[in-house]
Amino acid sequence: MMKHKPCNACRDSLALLRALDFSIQETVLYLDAYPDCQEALAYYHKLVCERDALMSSYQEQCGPLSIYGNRSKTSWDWVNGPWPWEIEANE
Amino acid sequence: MYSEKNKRPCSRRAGDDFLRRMLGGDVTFGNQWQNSCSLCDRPQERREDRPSCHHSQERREGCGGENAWGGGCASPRNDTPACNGGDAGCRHCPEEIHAPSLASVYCPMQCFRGLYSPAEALSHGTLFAELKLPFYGAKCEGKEACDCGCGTSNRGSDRTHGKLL
Repeated sequence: MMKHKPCNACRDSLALLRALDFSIQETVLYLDAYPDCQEALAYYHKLVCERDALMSSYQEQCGPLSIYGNRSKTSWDWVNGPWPWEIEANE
Repeated sequence: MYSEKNKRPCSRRAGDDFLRRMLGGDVTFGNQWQNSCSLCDRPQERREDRPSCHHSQERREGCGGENAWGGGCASPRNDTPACNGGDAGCRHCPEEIHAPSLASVYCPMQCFRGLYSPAEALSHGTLFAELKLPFYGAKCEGKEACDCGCGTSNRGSDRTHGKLL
């Protein structure tokens, strides 16, 4: 089974995805406490939009990040990336 | 889920005003313990309907509590018709208590402001600059170090007394 090592661009994109996920989670927690705050809701949508775009481009170029992200119709790329417990997945 | 309709958190000042007035002593507390003397003084209530007025000991407790806040009742009045028995009347107790309660906790409303960028937020562990409250632990090295407040370690600031054991 061939595994490809993530390139620097993929690594940077993944780091930004993680940061976006964290900020989204923080905003969600805020919205749980203050569901009427339009400012927070707008920020949530902005982050989710950025995250969707980045997630899409990442999975196009670097491989699937979840079992729902296998873009190729001809190969199962899910097994090619590093597994979550491998160092490459946590750099 | 908590919801306070038609109020945005950044303009929700009612809680802050209440806190300010409470700490400033302008808030009236209406529970029976604090107002037991006031209850005795209410002419429109029948004496037998007021449990705190049946036993002079209860009245004294109520008065004592108010007296601690400077609310009067320093000397029992035998001539007051307010309470049963009249041996510890609460005639001079105020109708309202203008003092904070003994212990209160509060949580101010958070505003959606001072946001970090996503990368900064992840490194700080919070999206909100107001919630960046780093804990600096200090390791105690021997009894002497602990007696000095654990501030001798260069891993913590002088005002930090946390321990990493």
